[in-house]
Amino acid sequence: MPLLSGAARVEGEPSAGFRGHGPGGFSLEGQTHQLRLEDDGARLKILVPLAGLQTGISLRDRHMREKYLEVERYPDAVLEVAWSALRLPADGQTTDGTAPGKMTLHGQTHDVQVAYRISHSGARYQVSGRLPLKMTDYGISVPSYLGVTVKPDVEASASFTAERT
Amino acid sequence: MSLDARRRRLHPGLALLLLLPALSAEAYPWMIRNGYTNCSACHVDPSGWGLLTEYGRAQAQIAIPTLWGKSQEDVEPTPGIAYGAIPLPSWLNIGLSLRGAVLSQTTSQGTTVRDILMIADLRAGVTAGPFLASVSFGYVPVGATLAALTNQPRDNLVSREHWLGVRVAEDQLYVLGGRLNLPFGLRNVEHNTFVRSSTRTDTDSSQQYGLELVWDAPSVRAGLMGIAGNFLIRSSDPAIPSSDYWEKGYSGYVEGAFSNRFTLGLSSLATHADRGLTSFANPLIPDPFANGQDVWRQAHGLFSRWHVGGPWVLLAEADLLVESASGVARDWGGAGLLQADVEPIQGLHLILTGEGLRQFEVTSYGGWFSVAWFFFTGCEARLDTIFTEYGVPGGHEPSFSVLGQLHFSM
Repeated sequence: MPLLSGAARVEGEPSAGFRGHGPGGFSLEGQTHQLRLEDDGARLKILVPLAGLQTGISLRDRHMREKYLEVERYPDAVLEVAWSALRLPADGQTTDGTAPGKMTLHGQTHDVQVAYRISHSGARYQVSGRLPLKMTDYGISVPSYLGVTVKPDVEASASFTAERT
Repeated sequence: MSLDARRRRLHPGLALLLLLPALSAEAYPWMIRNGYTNCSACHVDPSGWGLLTEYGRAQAQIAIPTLWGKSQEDVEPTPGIAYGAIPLPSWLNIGLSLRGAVLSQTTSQGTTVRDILMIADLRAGVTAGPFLASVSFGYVPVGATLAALTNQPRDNLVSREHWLGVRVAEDQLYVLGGRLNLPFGLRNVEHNTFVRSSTRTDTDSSQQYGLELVWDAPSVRAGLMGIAGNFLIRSSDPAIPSSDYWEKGYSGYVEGAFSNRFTLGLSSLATHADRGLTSFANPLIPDPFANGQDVWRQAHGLFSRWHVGGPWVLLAEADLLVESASGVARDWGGAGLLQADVEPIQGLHLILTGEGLRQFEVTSYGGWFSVAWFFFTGCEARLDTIFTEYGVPGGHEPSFSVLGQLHFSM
């Protein structure tokens, strides 16, 4: 049985984001609280609108949106995972695992491995997951600004609570 | 008379005045508000403070000043320095820091008012591939004697830092040698807070010569310095070699970033000198270790930076202090600081600080309310009101200071 039906909804404040690194100890985190789900019964789609990603400095956000992610052309990051690849917990239980999925970003789609954790409590499912990405695989230029160049490998993550109706 | 003995003879009120002037050059741990847990992207010194890199100079235009109706997205940072008037190659970093102030201080002996030139430093540095170098050179009319190149009672030329370095392992491992800031605790701007003055780890003049290893990775940063001494200390007593006052030992920290909003660090310092310098953390009591022989000084503690959310940042540090010398009973003490920095609009900081000190068997405590306004790129106006109850034998001696400053940097 799929985790979510078409009537399922995201509860509370979801979050999605990424963490990247630059030279030395430089790190960069982006986060958005916009996330939506689509479920056709066979596959779960997690869609994250990228226009809302914030890194703490809005000029950097603008560069990220306009120069690197090109969000006007590619507004969403989309992760698709087959229900059959997920191990769902019984009520009151939590499961951890990895599952294959397809990540679409910047107009390109690649196979990925998603590490996930799902906690089940009544009609609520608390879901978190993370996956490694190499931005150059998706045709995204490596961000570089005044001597600080971000490494192409980043970790993307998302967490949300869904309630099945 | 030795340098230290000369300092010991200061009238307590004058000693207090000498202690207060100089918020140090720029070092802003509250930049964690912008997600910066590490310092090396913006500063030539990978542990933070002072001279800015090309990236740091851009952040100083984007993230620090009030933007007067513009948003950060509208800012196009000017290259080079002097608002773009002087271009610089990316490997060369030059900076200027000018800080002047008016200080009013009220003690039981009355109120004094005076103007102070705190800092007039020119800095230059190189970040060329794996090679780094940094030097500062400046003038101070009063104070900063531990960084003085000249040996005058006042009007000295100072060099707070001068060092060479190399970085390897994807810029995560640094080896630095020369006159360096001691890696310990918060590198906060208020150099006369108890945690900085009692541990002698401020960035005003407490740098020492030595060799430092710095590890600068995304989730952990650390520094460990072998201290060879402050070679700029000179004894004015021919019978006492200057080297007697040079501390040898280590200072270091390790700080974990549990997210881009919270860090927790551990610091440790232990030094030995044949003769002890005077502590100015509490200038109203005699330091039993001043000019003492075979002096061991230790400080060990925790520090933390936390972006609580929105405009709020909390900074905290607590240190254990241990000092011993030949023929002097070992002194156990401690120093602590808790500071809240609120930035309701970009560039305007409302800062509340509470601090305490237990040293030489008396307890001191104090509170600061400060307003710092970075009203334009490279320009800061700051007002500190500082109330301190200095511990003295049998009681406390209150002090109330108002310090107004103008700071220009580029």
